This record gives sequence, structure tokens and C-alpha cells, in this order.
Amino acid sequence: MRRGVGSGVRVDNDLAALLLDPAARLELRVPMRWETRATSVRAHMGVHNSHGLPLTLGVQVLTLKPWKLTAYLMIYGQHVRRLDVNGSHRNRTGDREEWVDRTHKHKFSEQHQDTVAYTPDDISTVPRASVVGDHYRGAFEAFCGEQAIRLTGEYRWVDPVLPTR
Amino acid sequence: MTECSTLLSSVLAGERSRWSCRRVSPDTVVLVTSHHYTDGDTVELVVQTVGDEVIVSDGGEVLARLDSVGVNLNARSRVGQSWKRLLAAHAIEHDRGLLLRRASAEHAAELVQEMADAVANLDGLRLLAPAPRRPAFPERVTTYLEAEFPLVTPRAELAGMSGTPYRVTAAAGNDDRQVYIQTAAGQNSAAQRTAVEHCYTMFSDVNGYLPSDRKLVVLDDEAPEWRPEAINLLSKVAFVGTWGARDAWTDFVWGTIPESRLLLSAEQPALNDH
Repeated sequence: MRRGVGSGVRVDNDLAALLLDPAARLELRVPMRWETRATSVRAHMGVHNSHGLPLTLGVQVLTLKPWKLTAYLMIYGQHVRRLDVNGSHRNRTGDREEWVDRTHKHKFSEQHQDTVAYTPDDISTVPRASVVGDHYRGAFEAFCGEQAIRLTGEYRWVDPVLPTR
Repeated sequence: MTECSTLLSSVLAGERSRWSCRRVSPDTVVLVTSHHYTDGDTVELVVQTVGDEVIVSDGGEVLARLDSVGVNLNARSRVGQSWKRLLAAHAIEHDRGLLLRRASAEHAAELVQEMADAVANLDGLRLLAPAPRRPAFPERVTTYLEAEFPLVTPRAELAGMSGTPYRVTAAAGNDDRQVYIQTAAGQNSAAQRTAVEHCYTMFSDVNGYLPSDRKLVVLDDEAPEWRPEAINLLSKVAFVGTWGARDAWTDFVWGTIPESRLLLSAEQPALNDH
């Protein structure tokens, strides 16, 4: 962790590596807590970790684009990993790969921040229409699995309810 | 030497290949544009046709993206003021979080281009937002509690027998049992004394109303060492734990009540066991 201007904190590669290391023993121990935001529904939960760091796990679905789910692991306002289901993206460096309406995952580094994405292996699909809670659950729990976040304790999946505008 | 015609042909060919469109309802399509947000995600726009008018919106994406990283768009914040100025500069309407523009159908193409520019600019505010500050001890404990317990009420209210209202750092537990938790921190002995006095006064005042096994003081043991007398005093009215020994008081909040009210790390000296 790097202290920025004043008492601000910036995430660095060491902190990201610390959190992604198996020794961090990440666990989601609490039920999904959805809240309705201006343009989305979002669940935002604390993640148990062996370092006692303020790590959170978020998952968000856009009200007007129910086929788009975003799940992220975040500390100090920085997404360390972020999954964009059915999102569009282009890498500006390296392979310059492009995703159009296709699932990709962002990874943080000090050098590129969160601009570099790759295709994750085992995220279940969310259809473009007739999306139901189990589709979201499949993608979210697969993201947790990829990040070695164990689902324990009082964890319980709850379907999001998308409001109508 | 760079030839304009070659360069333009190449740019326009690339541009053409990057746009795509999908119908999502009889009057609405989603456009994937050639524009990008700062993190490389592609700007997608929702285009709806209503009679002779087109409405181009971001589908609520920008606000959700900023919200997910905790950017504060409150009108009084510096970023919030920039947000308002950018909305005005790009002539954008803000409808319950949705960013949109409208025009007659003949201007649809310009509208789409202008909207794509605008939303990418607005999203860039994330990089101008101040770095989050290091969480203060009460926030750190609250975040920890939120990772451990299904029911957490930050800044929970308590009423003293004197009639004085109090707010503790948080109440945490489950449907059957909630423990009221007050943090105490201080970088010098005077600050620590003030923190101890506050905890002691508050938890004394709710005695009778709240049994000791539902009151917990958590000390910041990354601060200078706490005086054993202070810990002893607090243990008269509540269980006392330290951040470093959080496993011990986590079990206590779950309902495992130990005989001793001291749930401290080995390094923290205490006068005697209650």
C-alpha cells in the first residue's frame, strides 16, 4: 500500500499480490446484501481475510442492461480484479485484444492500472434475454472460485430484484 | 512520410469495423461504439426512437461505473462540481442517473458521436477523484464486522438510563443476538484517556438496560500501548478486546461468552482478570 497526498492511500502491486495469495485465506461469510442504486442494483460485502484488510466484494447489474453483470474485488477504491460479463473492451497494450459484448476480466497493476483484460476460463454464461437469478449466481460464484474466495459461514445467495424505471 | 489519404483510409476502415449494433426491443438498439473509457472498456450507447425523435443514453453505465469505485458526486465535492460542469458542457440531461440527449432523427449520427465523447469524459472523473484516505479505526472495525456477521448496524443508537442518547461504532451479530461495539483509539495518552472515559460513561449509563455480555470495547493496539488501569476500568462495564486479538472477540460476538472479560492479545498488559 502506498500513501498518496495527505492521508490518501493507493494500491500497489505488493498489496494486490498479498490479497491474491492463498495465504490471504479469502472467505465470503455473509449473505448477499443487494441495494437499489440510481441505475443499478448492487451488493457490496466485506471479505474475510487473514490480514484484516478492508477488502470488499461487489456485484452489480445495470437496471437497463440486465445481461451485464460486473463483479469486483476492491480495496481502497481500487478494483484489484473485475469481471465484466457480456461487456465490451479493448486492450491498449500487448495483444490489443478486443471484446465485443463478451465476458472479460480486468486485472490491476501499477503500470497499467485496470486497463488490461483477459478472457476468464470458467465463467458461466449470462444470456442476453430472459436472465434469471441463477444466471447471476453462476457467474458470481464462478468469479469467487477464480479469486479463491471460499463461500462459508452465513453466505447465502439472494437473487437481485431489478426495479423498473 | 505520412500520407493523409492512406492514414485517413486506414483510420476510417478501423472505425467502421469497430462499431456494432444489436436490437434489444422494437424501438431500442444498443450500439457498441469505437470510443473507450479510461480503463479500456468500450462505450456502449442505448438508442431509442420515439416518433421523430431519437434518445441516446448511456444506459446508466457511467453512474454505475463511478459508483462502483466509490466516487462521490455530491454537489459539494470537487468531483461533483466537475461532474455538473461536464454535463452542462456536453449538453447532457441527467434523468435519475441516466445520462441522455435527444434530437430529431436526422441528427442521430451527430448525437451518437457527441454522446460517446461525453460519457468517456465524464467517466474519466474517476481518475481525478482524491485517493481514498486510510480508513480511521472505527471504519476499519466496521468493515471487518461487515465481513464477519450477517447483521451489522453502523453507528447504532443506544439510550442511557440518564436519558442521554449515544451512538456506538456498530452493533453486530445475528437475528438472535446483537452486541454493541465501541472502538477506542488514541495516538497519545490524553487521547486514549478521553476515549476510555467516553466508553466507560456510555457503557455505565446503559447498565441494566444492556447486559455486559452485549457490550464490547475494541482497542486500537497499533496505537501506543494502553494503560492496564484503563483496560481494567473498561472491563468493569464491558468486555474488552484488541484489534490484534480480533479472533477472540469475534467468537464472543457470535455468542461464546468467556469467563474473563479481557479478550486481549498477549502483548497487551492488563492489571488483573475480571
